[in-house]
Amino acid sequence: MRAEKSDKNFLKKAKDVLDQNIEELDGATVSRLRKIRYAALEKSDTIEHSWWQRLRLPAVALMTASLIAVVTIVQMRTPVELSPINTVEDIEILASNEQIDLYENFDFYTWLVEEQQNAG
Amino acid sequence: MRNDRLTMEQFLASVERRAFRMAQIATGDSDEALDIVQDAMLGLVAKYNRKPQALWKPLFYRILQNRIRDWYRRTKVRKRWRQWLNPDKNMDRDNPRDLLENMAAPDAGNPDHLTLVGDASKALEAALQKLTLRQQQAFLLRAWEGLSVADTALAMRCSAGSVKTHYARALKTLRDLLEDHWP
Repeated sequence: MRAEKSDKNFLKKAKDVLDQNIEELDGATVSRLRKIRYAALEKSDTIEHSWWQRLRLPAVALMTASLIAVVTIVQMRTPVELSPINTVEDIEILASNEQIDLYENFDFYTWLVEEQQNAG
Repeated sequence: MRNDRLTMEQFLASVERRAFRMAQIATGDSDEALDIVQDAMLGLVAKYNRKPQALWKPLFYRILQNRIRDWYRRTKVRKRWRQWLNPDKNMDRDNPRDLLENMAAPDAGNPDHLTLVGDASKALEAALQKLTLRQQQAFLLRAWEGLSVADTALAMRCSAGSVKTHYARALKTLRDLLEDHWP
């Protein structure tokens, strides 16, 4: 019990002496410690900043790749419109120049027949 | 973000002086001590900024003690090389950077002498420098910084049992060296 109390007193004395000592640190040392602290905090900001910068490039690349992938998938899923030459009928029409002329002038021939009928 | 910075600044401000003194007692050199504190602060903000605030103190002191140990190792290696290269010369006897030489200096670090002249602070510092590095760390972290046994173990990278052993031995040695002069 006595030894314990004695230890306690000794420790308190040691702590007081050490505390007093740091209170009496010279101005130059205190100033340097403050500078060191600010430098560490500045470094912390730089680390935060570079963390974002390091992440930004892959993030943009990932977003671009995702966009391309989405567009590609959408295009693949959209049904392809049938080409106008897909049907047999269209092929037959295309195979003959005369018929195409006939179809192209179909309105004119219709009008001509109607005129002749009216005149007759 | 601003709050985080403020909290970290307050934490660093709360430990910087004690950290400096610990490093100064360990190395015997103010410039080396400032470098070590700077490394410890940078290490903490770089690696553990996002750790819970309750862990900052033991982690900070862990980095600090690592740096002090690194300094010891470098100093030992330097000394060995100097002795090997110049075995006849007593190299750097007066170099304040050479901790091992300074610690062996008989007059400046004699606690009896210093307490007699009334300089309790220097007497304690000299007595602390008589301890092994591990005992010194255990005593300062436990008795002065007030870390728990578990946090001291984390800071010293050893078991709680080792902390208790180092601390008990440190206390005994310090008492033997200073007790007669401290009421």
